[in-house]
Amino acid sequence: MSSRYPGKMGKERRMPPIQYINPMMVRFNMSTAEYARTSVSALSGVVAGILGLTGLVGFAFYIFCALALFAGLVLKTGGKKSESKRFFLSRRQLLLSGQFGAIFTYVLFWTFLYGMVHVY
Amino acid sequence: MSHPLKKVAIIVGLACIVHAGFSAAQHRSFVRLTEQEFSSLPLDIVVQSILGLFLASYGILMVSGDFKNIQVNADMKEKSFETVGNRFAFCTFEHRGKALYSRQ
Repeated sequence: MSSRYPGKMGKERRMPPIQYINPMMVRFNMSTAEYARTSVSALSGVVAGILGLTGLVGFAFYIFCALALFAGLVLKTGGKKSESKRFFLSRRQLLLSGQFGAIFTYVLFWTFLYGMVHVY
Repeated sequence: MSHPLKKVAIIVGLACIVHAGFSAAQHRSFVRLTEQEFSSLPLDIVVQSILGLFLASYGILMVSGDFKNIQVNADMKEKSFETVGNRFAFCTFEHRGKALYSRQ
């Protein structure tokens, strides 16, 4: 499937073979990652509430947990960048997508557990 | 790692977190009743909840299912050309096999 096209000097340069991508599988993988993200952000919110974190420390804890989850997902795809290309369009997508909803889940559980453990 | 062990990791992690939560609430009420000043949670509760978080996250990552290959021709590599020609609409069951292999 390698296509040829004329280069600058009229020489032919060989293009890498075109890789067609299955959008259904892309969506399936993203939903798998989303499932893990939602569960882990809820759990880390629970732990932040139990530990009694307040203010910016809580958000720093969330950032730490999100980075740890990203590392876990990357390790699950196989660790190397070329391997994660087999499952995702880009690695950055794995870190950044759905982060806004996840932080709300985190804050919900954080405030709930903080109230349950430390206030009442 | 076999499948039940992943679920065990989730359950043990959740149990750790719940236990740490009850311990923290108990410590809070103990501090309040003895009229001490609350400074911070005891170290064992902190360590237990964070360990529980890691264990449960590991279990969730394992349970959430395998990623699938997004390349189009990836799942066609193992299949032969016969798979393409297999059409159920053209299946016929009225043939000699009925007479040959039927149990009398």
